[in-house]
Amino acid sequence: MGGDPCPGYRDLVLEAATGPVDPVLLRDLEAHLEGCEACRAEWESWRQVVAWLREVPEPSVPPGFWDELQARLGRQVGQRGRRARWARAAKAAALSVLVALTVHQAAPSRGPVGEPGVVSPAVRALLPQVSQLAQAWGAGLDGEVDW
Amino acid sequence: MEEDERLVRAFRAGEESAFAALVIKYREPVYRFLRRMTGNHEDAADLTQEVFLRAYRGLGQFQGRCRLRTWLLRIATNACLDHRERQRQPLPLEAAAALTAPPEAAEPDALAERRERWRRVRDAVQALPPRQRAAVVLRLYGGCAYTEIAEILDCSEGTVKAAVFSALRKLRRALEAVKEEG
Repeated sequence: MGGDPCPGYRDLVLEAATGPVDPVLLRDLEAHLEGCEACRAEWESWRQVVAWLREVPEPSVPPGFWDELQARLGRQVGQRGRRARWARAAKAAALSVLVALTVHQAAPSRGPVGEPGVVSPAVRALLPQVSQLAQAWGAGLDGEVDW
Repeated sequence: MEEDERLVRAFRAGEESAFAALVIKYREPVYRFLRRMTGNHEDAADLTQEVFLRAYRGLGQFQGRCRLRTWLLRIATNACLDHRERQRQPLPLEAAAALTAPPEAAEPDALAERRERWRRVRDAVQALPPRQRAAVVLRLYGGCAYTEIAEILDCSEGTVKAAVFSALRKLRRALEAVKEEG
């Protein structure tokens, strides 16, 4: 070895030994290496280290693993898909109920004076809860996005 | 329009087969990254499945601000770090000692020596702190540029370089120990 590598090139040598770098910086490094024995030794040393690190074989994939993964994902995604479709259907149903009840509530009572109308006070009291339920279902699976 | 963008749009339009196509396209880089990160097939397999399930749930909100591969590798990194946190497993003794342990007796055979070097590299990679390990795996084995690694790890390029350089210096020390044995 010809002494310590130049501080200005130490990291660049490492960067270039491990992968692509900016072409301008690479040309600068190449020019520097031609005239600097210490940095050239450092460069060769890192190239050897990186070659050793990269020679470790890719881990093998057990036979049938991709098919198994695809099948497992298909099953899980299918379940989620059904839940999502159910949530959409439930939302639509809840909204229909809400609209129907609102229309009945707005319509004038057809019963005789003194008799209860089509929408009883008990049902009217439930309307805010139906609305909340519709919103919750409408949210679908959004709350599960957690990457 | 790029293929990935077409697939994402098709998926959003309700075409489930578009998601299957994305899985087929990216399952290998995701699995290989996770295999290098975890060091074993079982965890890598479970995490690969988890990554694609998270992707399935999140694809509707994917903004396209980065490449799909980058986004999936970010999910994979987070899944891996979460997994580690959940398990709270101490490092395998062998791996933890890999960077400092005195070398074992070298085998005369060249192939055996190479296999020993591979084992030491795997152990030394496993002994790295998780984010350093992710950075170095993405750089060395994933062929990622520093900018992409920064996007995946959600940090600055300078931080990534510092992590990669630090990891590489540790790995070099581990390899030099093997070389001295030989």
